[in-house]
Parts: sequence; C-alpha cells; structure tokens
Amino acid sequence: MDDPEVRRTIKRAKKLDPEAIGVLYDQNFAAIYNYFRHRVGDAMLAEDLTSQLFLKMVHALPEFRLGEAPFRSWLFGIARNLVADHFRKEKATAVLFLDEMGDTIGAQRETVLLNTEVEVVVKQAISEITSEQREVVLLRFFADLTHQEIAGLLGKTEASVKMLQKRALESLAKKLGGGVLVDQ
Amino acid sequence: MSINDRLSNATLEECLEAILTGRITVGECLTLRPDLGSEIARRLPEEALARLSDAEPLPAFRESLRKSVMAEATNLRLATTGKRFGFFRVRAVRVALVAAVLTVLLSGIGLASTSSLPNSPLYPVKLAIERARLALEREPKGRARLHVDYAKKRIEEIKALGVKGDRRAVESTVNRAEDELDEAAALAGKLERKESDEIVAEAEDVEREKRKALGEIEGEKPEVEQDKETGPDDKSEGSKREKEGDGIDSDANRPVAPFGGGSLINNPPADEKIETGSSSTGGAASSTSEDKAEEQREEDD
Repeated sequence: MDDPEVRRTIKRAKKLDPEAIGVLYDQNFAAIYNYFRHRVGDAMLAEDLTSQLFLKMVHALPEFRLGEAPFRSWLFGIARNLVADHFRKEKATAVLFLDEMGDTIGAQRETVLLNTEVEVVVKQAISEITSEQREVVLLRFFADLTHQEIAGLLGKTEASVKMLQKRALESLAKKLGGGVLVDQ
Repeated sequence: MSINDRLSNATLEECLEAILTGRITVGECLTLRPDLGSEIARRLPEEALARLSDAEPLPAFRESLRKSVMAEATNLRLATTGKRFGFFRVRAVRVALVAAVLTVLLSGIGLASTSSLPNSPLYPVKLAIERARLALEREPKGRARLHVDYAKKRIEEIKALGVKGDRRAVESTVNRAEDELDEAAALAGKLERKESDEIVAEAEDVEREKRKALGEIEGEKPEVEQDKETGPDDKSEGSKREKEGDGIDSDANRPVAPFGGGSLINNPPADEKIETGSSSTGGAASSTSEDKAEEQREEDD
C-alpha cells in the first residue's frame, strides 16, 4: 500500500496540482517506459505509449480512489490496457518482445547498462518464456510490483504468480549459463 | 594480472559483474570458482533483469513529456474548476457557508450532532460543520490545528465504536483520522519551526492515542509487534532480491495486524494498509519526521 508521503502527493495530484503530478511522473517514468519498451519491443513506440499513459493518468487521477489499490498498481493497470489496445489495433497475432536486431535507432537512443551480447541473450531468453511468465517478470522486475499486486492485476493467486516467476527465472538462468548452470 | 588470475580469487559480486559485462562466460567463471555455481544460478537472472530494466530513453524526451504532462494538468484544472469557482463565486460560497453553519448551530441540530457517531444520521452534519470551519480558516497554522482537533474527535469516536463492536465503522473512522493527520502533517511542513513542532507533537500524541485505542479494541499491543516485523524499509535492490531467494517473496508471509501502529508524519513503512487502517511507526519515526519537516522548511526557505 502507498505510504503516507505518497498518499499526500496523490491527494494533491487528484486535485490536479501540477507539482504533485510532476512528482508522480518522476517516480514512475522509468518503470513505465521500461515496461513498454520490453513489452512492445520498439523504443519509438514505447515513447509514444509512455506519453499516452501519463496524459491518461492526468485525466484519470481525479477518479483514483486512495486505499483501494496502490497507485503504482493502478498505473500499470492502465499501461496493460494501453498495450492490449495497441496490439488489438495493430491486429498483432502475437505479443512481440524481442527487439529487432536491426533496431539501431533504439540502441542509440538508450543507455543500456549490460554488455550488448549479454543483453541480446537476456532479451532472447525472455522472448522465449511463456507470455504469462513474461508478464510476471516485467511487472516484477521492471515495474517493481509485489507478488500480491501482480496477482491482483492478472487475476491470479499470489502463489501462481510466484510459481510463474520461479519458472521464468530458472529458464533465464539456463539460457544465460549456456546450459552450464543447469547441473548446479 | 589477467582476468582469469583475478577471478580465481574473486567474490560472487565480482564474478557476476564480469559475466554481465561480457568479460567472461559463465562456464569460464565456474571453471575458476566451481563453488559459486548455485549462487550464480540464483543471482544471475535477477541481476541481468535489474540492469536491463535500468535502460532509459534520452533525457530530452523525459523532460519534454514531463512539461506536457504538467501543462495538461494545469489546463485540465483550469477547465474543470476555474470556470466554476471564480474569485467572486468563492467569496459567495464562503458567505453561504458561514450562513449555513450559523443556521445549523442555532437550530440545535448542530449541537446535537457534535456527539454523534459515524453510524448516526447526524454524523454527516457533524462532518459538514467541520468542513465548513476548515473552509473558513485561511491560516495554515489554524487549519493544521483544526485537522489535529478533528483527528482527536475521530479517536474518541473510535473508542466509542470499539465499545459497541462496530468494526466496519472503526475502520472507516481510522481512515478519516489518518487523513486528518496527513493533512495536518502537510500543513506543518509550511510553518515556522516552533509552530511546526507544536503541531507535530500534538499530532504524534493523537497517533499514540489512536494506537492505544486500537490496541484496546484488538486486545493486543500492535506497536511493539509491528516494529519487530517490519523493521527498516530497505529499498536497496540487492538486499530486497537477496531476501526473496528463489523468487518467493518474503512479504507474502508477513502477518498483517488488523490495526497497526501508525506513522503519522512522513516516514512510514512501505506496506501500510490503508483500507484496514493500519500503519506503523518505529522509535525513529519521531526524529525522522522532524528531519523531514526540517528539510521541508529548508526547501521553503
């Protein structure tokens, strides 16, 4: 649940106080951008969705009910809907994750802290896990939501969310270790 | 010294760093440090994901979108409230409020409502009178004091509701009390140090009173237990993920008291449960809130 400092900011933001909205923006920008970035696999599209999300947030904030759900969880609910709308519009048959290898524009635009080769392996590994596992991993590690919050968003039990995460991490470890870590 | 020489004595962290930055493969690392195999298998995926999640777009995009979002908020606020509440209308509303409050008070309903409880038909009248008094008070200090007073009233109501066993009403009243204290804390940050300290001290008294009342209702001592359970709010990625081990989040098993102790001002634990009225405070909460109030004053200066 949101702590009192965040609650105070949200209360002001609900009254459309630009300063408070700026604080919420700063607190959530990176997580939201990264979620989109790794969900749709394109830097430009991620920027577009991030813009849409924060503008939607401003309009929806007066309706946000403190105490019902943590703010970040609510925000990622909107983010998930935006991604779903995007794929519906694009008539995508499958959710893309992996960056195109030739996505040089995205690579130039971003600061990536991993070695490029390792980054490719990680992205490849994440693209190969199931859609549900991927969603859990993104919400857990990119959005920093708790298992309980993710369970609420995905309509699953907390235990099943933990199991999905565990399997995803095991699969990722195998890929990153090139098979070496399997026997450990 | 080659990287292999260095890695033969390397720590787990150094091995992970070397793998993630592509200086060595997992296989090479395990050849040199076979004892680290299980730890690397556990930590590597999470470390890789954490670093991947730190990727950010150019700051120019971030800044430009920030300005757009704040401008949108300003425009929306002007569109929704500016038209309806111009200066003259605000003044008219104030005059109307004074008249309404006087009428209610003189009619006797207001007096009767002052002792009403949340499940009483007169309770909304009591709250309306309180809001009206707030609307008439312009000074931050006066407003802060009113919020603290209202929080005290909520605590008295909680005690009375506890006797009656109306749990639902207790929870909603706890939320109201915490909202009043939040508002008082926010206003205290805008005051001079001495005034701020007075408000903070009074609010902390009310907070203690709230915990005591809830403890009596629950027949337990939530303050001590809560402190032991939650501990400091450690936000560091390493320690957070460290605690979760193989992906099973420790917070899932953490017991949640129906009503906890509450940090009133500024520095609560991350897992405060608003809907159940729980919150917590540790021994350091008081000094931390003073620090925050101090920071706020410095910012204001």
